[in-house]
Amino acid sequence: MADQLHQFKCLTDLREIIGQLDGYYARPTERGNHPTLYPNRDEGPYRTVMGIRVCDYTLSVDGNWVLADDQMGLSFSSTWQHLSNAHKMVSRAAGKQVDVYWVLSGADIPSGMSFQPDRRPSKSSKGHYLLTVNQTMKISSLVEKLKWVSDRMTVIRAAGKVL
Amino acid sequence: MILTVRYSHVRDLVKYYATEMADDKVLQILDQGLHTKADAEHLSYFIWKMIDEMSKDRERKKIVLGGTDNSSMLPDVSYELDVLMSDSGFSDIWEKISDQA
Repeated sequence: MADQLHQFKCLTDLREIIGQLDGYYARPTERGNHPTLYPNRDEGPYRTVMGIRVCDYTLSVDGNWVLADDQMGLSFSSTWQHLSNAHKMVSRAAGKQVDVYWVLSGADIPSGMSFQPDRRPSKSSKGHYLLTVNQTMKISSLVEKLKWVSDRMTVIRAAGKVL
Repeated sequence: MILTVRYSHVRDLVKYYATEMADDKVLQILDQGLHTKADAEHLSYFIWKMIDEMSKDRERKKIVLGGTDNSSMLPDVSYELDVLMSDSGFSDIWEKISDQA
């Protein structure tokens, strides 16, 4: 599966491809954007440090360290319902192709990190997973580890006109 | 039920566009919570209108909440709306309106 090139023209195609995967974590990503790092943002609660959103991880006061927290992390979908809802919303506003990057749930990930289910007590948080940090590390280390994860993700490319 | 818990910027985003679009009903929902079927329908339609406005603002390079492109927030919007509607008992309304959007 990982070595094959997959494309989808509509959400039905995407659903069929995703349905073949045996346990996955996936993220919709606008064409040209990085699958695990964000574009630079200097201000507000949504700001980024080296491509990491400060709202996604628990950072030290000086912003140089990422603290262990099993309910903070980069967001992933593990179910079709969760993925398709996010994909539809991103596609509507993007005005360009939105691909889907995924990694098998059993894949190796860097030391000090793990995928954890969102424990928010809502049935709609089912299917939402977080790529968390379970040991304190420098933010530069987290950036390298997120790049490592992205290098091992497979992409399902949106084909044809924008969905 | 009140938006939001995990992604506080979603609330900021909805409040910004509700103010821009002079939607007092959505501002009221943000302040007082989501309680009725009519609230859920109104907010559902508003969110999809907001996404279209975000797309226009991005094309115009308009600065909103400190940036000219807020589309990376949309998975967070999806997450928070799914949870809000589910926890409030209005998932069916949100899903139906989103399917038609």
